[in-house]
Amino acid sequence: MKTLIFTSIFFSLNSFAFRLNTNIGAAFDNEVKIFITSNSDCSETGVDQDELLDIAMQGARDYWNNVPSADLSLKRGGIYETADNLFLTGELCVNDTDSSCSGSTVPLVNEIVIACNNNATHFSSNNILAVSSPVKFSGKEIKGSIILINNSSGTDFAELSRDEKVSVLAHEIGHALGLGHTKKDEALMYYKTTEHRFALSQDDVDGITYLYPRGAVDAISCDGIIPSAFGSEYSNTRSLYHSLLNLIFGLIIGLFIFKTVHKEK
Amino acid sequence: MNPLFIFRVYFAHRFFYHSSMLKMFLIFCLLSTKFCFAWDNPLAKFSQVDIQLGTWLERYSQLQSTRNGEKNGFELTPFVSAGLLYNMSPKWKFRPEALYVIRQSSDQIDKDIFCFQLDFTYKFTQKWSFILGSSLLVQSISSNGGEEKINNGNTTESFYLPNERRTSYIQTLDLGFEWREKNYGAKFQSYIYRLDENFPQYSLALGLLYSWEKK
Repeated sequence: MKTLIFTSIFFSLNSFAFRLNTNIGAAFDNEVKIFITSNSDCSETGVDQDELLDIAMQGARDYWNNVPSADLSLKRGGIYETADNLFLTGELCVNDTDSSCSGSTVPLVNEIVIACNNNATHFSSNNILAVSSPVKFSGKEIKGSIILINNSSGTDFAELSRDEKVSVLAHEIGHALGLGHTKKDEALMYYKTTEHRFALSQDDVDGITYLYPRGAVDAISCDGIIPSAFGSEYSNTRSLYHSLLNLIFGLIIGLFIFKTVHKEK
Repeated sequence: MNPLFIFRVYFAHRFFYHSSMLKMFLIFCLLSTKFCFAWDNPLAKFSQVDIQLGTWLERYSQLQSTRNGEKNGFELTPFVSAGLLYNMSPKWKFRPEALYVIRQSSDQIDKDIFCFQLDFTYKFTQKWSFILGSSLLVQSISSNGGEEKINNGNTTESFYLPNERRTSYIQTLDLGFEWREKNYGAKFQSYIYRLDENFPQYSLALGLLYSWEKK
């Protein structure tokens, strides 16, 4: 019995229950840019337009760009120039083939576009912080996604700490990338936020790996070891890795030459 | 020494400079030549066979495991592995090995992990060896599709299960230690995915070995 209890305590608790936004497992190409609309004043959210994009990029960098098994690179797009007020007031259209998408809904976009929005249908309560979804598809590929931040008067988003805002944006980016909610409450993709968020859970990692699997060619060219999304910022580390592998290779070649010479003597 | 051999090695090194897995494959091919060893068919000349049982610690202490912010700790995720050891010198051994993490299934999703390792061990005392090398980690996730209602804000929404198998490949840098006493031993190995100073990422494997020496 003691053995049984011991086993039950230490046996793997790894669990994954990730779900997807679409029934076809749609995903972006592996490089995606994040924009914020030029007309988003975000006055109720407690942060300005530039800071909101900074927060989103921190979420992208700290969470999604940081999964070695996923071939995904989220990059800063900058300002999405538009004067269309539907980004600020319209309802999200989640299917570009749906006829209800025309007229009063948020326009379809390419890449990931963030807007501060106060649509009453989406933000019926202050505790709904944001909504997001892929909106434009081509077969199994997502072409565009929208993230709407609650910019209604009294929005709870304004009360969040910076770290919480980062995790909220990271959660919404997860939806934009094709992930749905999960039942695992430790996961970033759980439907409620937590103030104790510091990393992805195994469930999040498996979900993003499923949507953006790293191919064999990427793996053998070392791209997985150092995240290319960080570019030259991490080039020293990339060089270090190459140096280490070359050192191993050099040692082995040296050993061969030594053994060969030794044998000939 | 044949200058042509040196030229071939140099050329191969430059050719495969940016492809470390191919580089490891090249090492394997070189090891298989009779040029460096006194045998004709080195695949039949291994000195030892190992089997290993242990636990795979995926992304140990790097992932969030509870809502309160705790990190993932020690868990028993069993794996089995088998490998061959080739004597390169009294202290150096080449060790190709295949590892399989027993299928993990949870909430209708299955995950399989295979690891193909090309490692080298350096025996620095009678019982202890250092391990260095590179592996190709193959991670496969699958499910049969389906739909589920999950909480979404103040209501519920339909979300979807994966409906096919997708496979991801990761190359790792392997570092570890091994302890041996006669036919038994223990091994601690790290599989480093990324070397970022801010986000060092690795998995660990702790295992018990049993080996058969070739007579």
